[in-house]
Amino acid sequence: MRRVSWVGSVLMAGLGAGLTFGATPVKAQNATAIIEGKITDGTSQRPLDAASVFISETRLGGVTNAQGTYRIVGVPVTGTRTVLVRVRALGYTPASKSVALTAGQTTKVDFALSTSAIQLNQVVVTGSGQATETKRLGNTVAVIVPPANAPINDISNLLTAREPGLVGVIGGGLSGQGAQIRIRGNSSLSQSNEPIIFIDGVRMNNGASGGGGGGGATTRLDDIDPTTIERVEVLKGAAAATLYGTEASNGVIQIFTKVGSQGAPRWNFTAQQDAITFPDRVAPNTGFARRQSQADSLSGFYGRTIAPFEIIETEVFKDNLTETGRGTSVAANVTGGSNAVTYFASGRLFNENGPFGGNQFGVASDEIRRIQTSANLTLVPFKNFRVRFNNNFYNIASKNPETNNNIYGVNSLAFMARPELANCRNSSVESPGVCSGAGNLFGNQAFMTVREAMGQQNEGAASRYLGSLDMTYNQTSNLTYSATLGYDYTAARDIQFSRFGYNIDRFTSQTVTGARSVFNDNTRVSTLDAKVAYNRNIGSSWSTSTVGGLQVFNTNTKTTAANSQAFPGPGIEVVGAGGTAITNGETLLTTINGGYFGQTQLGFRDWVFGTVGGRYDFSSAFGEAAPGVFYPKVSLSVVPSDRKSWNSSTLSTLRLRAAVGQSGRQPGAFDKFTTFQPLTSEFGPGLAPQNLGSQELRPEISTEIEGGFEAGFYDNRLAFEFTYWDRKVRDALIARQFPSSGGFRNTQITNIGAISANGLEMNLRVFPIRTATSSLELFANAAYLKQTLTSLGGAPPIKVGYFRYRGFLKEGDPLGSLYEPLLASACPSGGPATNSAGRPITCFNPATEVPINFNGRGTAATQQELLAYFATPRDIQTSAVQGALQPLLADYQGTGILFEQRNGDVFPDWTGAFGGTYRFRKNWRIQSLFEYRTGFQVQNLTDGFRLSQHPSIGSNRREFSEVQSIMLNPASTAQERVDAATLYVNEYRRLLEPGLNQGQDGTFLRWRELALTYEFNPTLASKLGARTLSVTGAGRNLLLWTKYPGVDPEVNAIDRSASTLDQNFLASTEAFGVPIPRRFSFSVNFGF
Amino acid sequence: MRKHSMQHLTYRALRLRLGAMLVGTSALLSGCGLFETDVANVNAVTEDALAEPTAAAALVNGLGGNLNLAVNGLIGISGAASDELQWAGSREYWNLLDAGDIGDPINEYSNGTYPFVSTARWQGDFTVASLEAFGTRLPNRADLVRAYIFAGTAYLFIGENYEDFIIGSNRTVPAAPVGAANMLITLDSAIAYYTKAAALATTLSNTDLQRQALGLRARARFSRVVWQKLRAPRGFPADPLVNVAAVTADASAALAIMGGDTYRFRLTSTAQNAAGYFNTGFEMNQRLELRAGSAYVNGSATAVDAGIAGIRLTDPVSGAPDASLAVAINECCRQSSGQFLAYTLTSAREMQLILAEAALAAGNAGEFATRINAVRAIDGKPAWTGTPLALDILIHERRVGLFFQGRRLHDHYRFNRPAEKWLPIYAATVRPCFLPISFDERTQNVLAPQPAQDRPTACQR
Repeated sequence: MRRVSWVGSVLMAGLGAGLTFGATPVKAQNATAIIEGKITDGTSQRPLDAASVFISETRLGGVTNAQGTYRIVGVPVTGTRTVLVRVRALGYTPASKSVALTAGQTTKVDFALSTSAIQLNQVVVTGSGQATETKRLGNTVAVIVPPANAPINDISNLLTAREPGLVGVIGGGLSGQGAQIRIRGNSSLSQSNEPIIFIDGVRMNNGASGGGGGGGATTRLDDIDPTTIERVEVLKGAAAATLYGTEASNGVIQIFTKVGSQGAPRWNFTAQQDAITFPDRVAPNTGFARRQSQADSLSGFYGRTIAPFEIIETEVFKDNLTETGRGTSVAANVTGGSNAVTYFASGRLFNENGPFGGNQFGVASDEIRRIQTSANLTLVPFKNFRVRFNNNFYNIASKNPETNNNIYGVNSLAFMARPELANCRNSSVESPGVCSGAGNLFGNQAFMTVREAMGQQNEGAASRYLGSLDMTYNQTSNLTYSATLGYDYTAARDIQFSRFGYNIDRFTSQTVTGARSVFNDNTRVSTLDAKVAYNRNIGSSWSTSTVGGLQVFNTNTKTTAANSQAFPGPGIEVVGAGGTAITNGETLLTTINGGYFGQTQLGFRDWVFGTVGGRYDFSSAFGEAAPGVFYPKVSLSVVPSDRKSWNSSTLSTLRLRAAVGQSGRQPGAFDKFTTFQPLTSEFGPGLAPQNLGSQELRPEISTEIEGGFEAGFYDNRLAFEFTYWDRKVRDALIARQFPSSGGFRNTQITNIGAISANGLEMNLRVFPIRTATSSLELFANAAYLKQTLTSLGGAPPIKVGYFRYRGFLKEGDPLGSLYEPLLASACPSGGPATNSAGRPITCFNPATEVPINFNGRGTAATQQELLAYFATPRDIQTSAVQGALQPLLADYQGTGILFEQRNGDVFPDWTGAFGGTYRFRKNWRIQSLFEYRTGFQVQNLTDGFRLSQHPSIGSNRREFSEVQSIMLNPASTAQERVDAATLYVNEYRRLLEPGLNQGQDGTFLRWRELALTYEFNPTLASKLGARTLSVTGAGRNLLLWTKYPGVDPEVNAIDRSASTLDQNFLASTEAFGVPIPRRFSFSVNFGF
Repeated sequence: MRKHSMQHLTYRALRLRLGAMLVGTSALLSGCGLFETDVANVNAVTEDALAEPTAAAALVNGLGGNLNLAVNGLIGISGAASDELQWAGSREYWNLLDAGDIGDPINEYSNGTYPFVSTARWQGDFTVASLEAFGTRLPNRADLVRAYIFAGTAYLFIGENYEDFIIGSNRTVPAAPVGAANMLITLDSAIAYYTKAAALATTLSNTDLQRQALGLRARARFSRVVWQKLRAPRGFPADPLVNVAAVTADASAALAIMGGDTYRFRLTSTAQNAAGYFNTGFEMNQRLELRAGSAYVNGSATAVDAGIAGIRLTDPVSGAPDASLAVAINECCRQSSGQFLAYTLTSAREMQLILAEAALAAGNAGEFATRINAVRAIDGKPAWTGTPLALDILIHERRVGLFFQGRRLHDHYRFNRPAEKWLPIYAATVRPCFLPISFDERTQNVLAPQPAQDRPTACQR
């Protein structure tokens, strides 16, 4: 990469040399004028904050403050001069006015803007190499602006449900749990499908932290203070993200933070209080006593009379492990400056103790504390040179209980407890359901009690500096050099800890003398971005815009891990004290990616724009001598409504666009080499096979075509945006599992796959009401996604995740498919149908047979033999009965593998959101957002245990308890037992046949946000000593509509701490996580 | 005028300084290595590093680690399939092994252990070939003896435990299975490696390695005979006893240099080479998925007092809880045993039992009694004097003396004494059945038996 840094040096040297010889002092003019004025909403006359005002064909401009006023000083004037003043504000139609200036005088220019549902003149900088209007780009660039006063506490929540095709996959409802971000699904099989994320032009570390104990990971993305975000730009795929090269095939998210604006210091404060609760989504624990003696014992424990086979119900999770969580957020920022120096500084303290309770039992808790500080300083030492220093420092601390799919998880143990097993065996009953000391309060049968699980704690901590130096030099009005140097350093530390003697119920045998694991991760991401842009007009009809430059990223990760168990006594809480299971590890990894990019855009009369560009990339994954990879792009944007002859107010705006481009993903840093890894044994240090290696490795290439249109109707009061996209991935990197009989257990990355995907994105926005005192803005969006694994290149199907998760990647099938056993159906008239392999599909005759594979013989049982079998009670929790009552399975798909019949996929076909903002009585605003996902399955492993015959855990949902009590009760009839057994085998039998009855429809609609804000009149606010003042009451995740019977169709046991393959393809896996909580907020915002 | 000039100079100086700073920064960037693509992997070694003889010890140690991983998993599976261990936790594929469903390729434990066994097999052949190629450049020839022993033991465990196996694959090139009828070659391979080990150990006068090699060769030769009794033809043999000269010769020779009846050669798991679901010690003593079988211990083996008090299986001579079993249970199967267990590969006790069995088969009652009582004396048990029957005391002493060593399944079949938990719907109750080529291997290897879900013929009920 030396050549890349050499080119970068040349560009930066050019910037420096130009600065040295060409910079012009800011105050060097002799004759200047001042322009000032006020920007208001043309309907309501409300002042507009953050509107951009600039003088055409100059670099002079400013931004309005909260009163809507602006001031531009130092406008060069010799005698008199006429300039064009232009205004842009999000949500409004741009406006301009010609103004005659006189040297030494101040000219007042006010604007009253009209709202617009369409934003073709919005300026974006992502994906084009320089700031440009969206209408000039042949691809979409989504812009997300944080909604004012909405209950958004982190970036994950800011991104979710705002833009079609952008989905947040959240791990669970514990405080601080972050989301995976997906844009247009998955473009890679083996590499990360997270988009790459920049903040102020600097590539940021978007890893995860924590997640010990099966989930609960926080994400580095959420380190960023959401109150400092000005806007977020999103590039959705390769057609748009080509200039970002390798790694950008899953899109690019560019976060822009607020910068200073001229004027006296302006302070803003926000104070917010949250109350957080879990919705009632966890089914009660049920069970029954099998014998009178057990019933008597339970009667004593629960303090009421319990009869054998009577269903007992408790709510272990709801009654014992939930509380009303509390969150506090205090933020302040200040901005101001002169025309030569502006500044912005902010600080935020976010502190939350979430709705996970139970601290009367132990130390486990869900807490997150974020201290977030930011400061930037923009210097304009010369009128054509700007330098900006960004500095962010974050300090994060979190706590999580053991959660998700984890036999020592507090949730899993609470969900699995059986009330009929509760006792105070090691103490006495103090009051109903309460022991005087050690006991088994909730009826855990295996692993540990809930109280003991509460004795384990996971903690995470991170200190992070993220800073950049950003320079822009306009050598002439056409030629601009710019460069960004960035540095993102995170020192993170995660701890899992069980203290000595935490087994307070004397039940568990798991590391009762304590255990501790420590994981340190020091990651540094360095960014060099340098470019030169040249823009000029050719005659009156043509314009060109050209940019070229380079980007290089150096990611250096150093991790250390240490674990031990068995402390010598209480009070010792360091790894070094442990006497057994002592392990340690260290990894050191540096990866470097970079490339040159260039792009030229040709414009015709400001309504037709064609763009060609490309990027040539290098990566350390291929070594210094390897050739690079070229990614091209072409796009076209046509805006017929910008023709002077266009004057339709019905179809007021129309743009047609198309783009095609490439991007990629490179393999891991050392995937090409055959390697042997350390394997220490009792015999000493050793080496063992690790990586098969492949010298032919190259990046996988995504080629994406997108096309669509934007249309504005009725003076842009209604806007509709439509995009169709199609993506083909060739040379897809597949983590191929070669036969382990060849000696290597690890998968080998190989370029043998192909993936195809396509989708639709639609966005409707309408302003039905616009009056002086009220306005209504409504929106609805939808995204359709279809993904197919076209080819595995001869590799075998890839199993995704843990054995009980039924995800596979199989050639020809949709990505993320679930494969499960399917029950036989009633035979169609004329006998069994045949499958694609030409074999009869197993079926049964409902008139004479029961769909139970009796004793595993492969055919349906007769009613008579089942009645005979059930002449006596049978215990379905014993191996013999489970072996006798097997499900009758059918090979519908002719695969020959009964356990792997495709049964849906884990990615929703449709995702989207709808909602709106209603401003009424001038000062009130109500905002709401609903999100939906349809057409996908959730792997419900929680009920895989809770509804099943498992003898030692679970089997405690009412549905199963009722069936089982009938089969066991001597008082029930044989027919009742047969009916119960039939119901059990065909509805509730789980786990014995991997995946049977496990995939369930996850379609849901969630009321995501509601916020009601009152903004005080400026006069009233000033009487209270404030410049601005507002109060907001808000709710988040208020209601959930779904037929999904499990805990929550949105939570996912596979969070950011899981393997890349699992993160990619095990979305929608529910395994003992907690539901997404409701949040009620009250906040006060004021400025002075 | 002067003020303006000063101001101009100040701007100029600032401009020069900023320009110089940028040029300097760019020079610094181009000179430093921050953005150079040539980065080193310090977390592993590339294969060319193994071409040096100095890598020999590391290769053998790594092979030992992989063998440990393989044996670790197989002992748990074999224990669950026999009556030695039984399921007590949440993952029901242990239960299906308990019930006698041994041949299910999809069983997550046998499926998950297969790659460890395969890696040990491959690394054994690779390591032996590498060290032999070093020739006289090999720094320590004892490393080659250890390589022979470890490689042979990988083949030994394959031959003892699998219905069929794939041994011809190399890296990305798959091979067809050996074939159930030809699996004897795995034990022949083990014997060949042990023979080389014994010869070289003798040359090096390394008694420790010599007795390991001879003891393991005796075991391999014994297993070879058992294989023939159970699989050629398939069934429960009418004549289950082993009495073959080569076996007894090896056992006698090994015993002669083992230095006493308490000698054992064991593989010991460590935190660095055993973790997760395929570490039997973890599954048993940490996660509590498994426990010693109910025929052996009272209640939960992890919950009762250590020592003789927890033992249910009685010594047929004294009627007391068996002391040999108490020692074995204490070592392997209580929480206090820990999760990093040791696995006995060969022992003087086993040599005595081999010789006792040969004597019984030959009708040499005196030698049989001598050998059996030598075994019983190890744990202070009273001498056997004829009650119960000789065959029963032999079976019992093998059961308790070779507990948790992967032999019990053979003895269930050999002596036609099925485990109590085996269900009649599974094949183990009607004919000997062993572990299958795994489901994953079958899906990855087109030359492996298909359909991937089908049990081997011998394991189909």
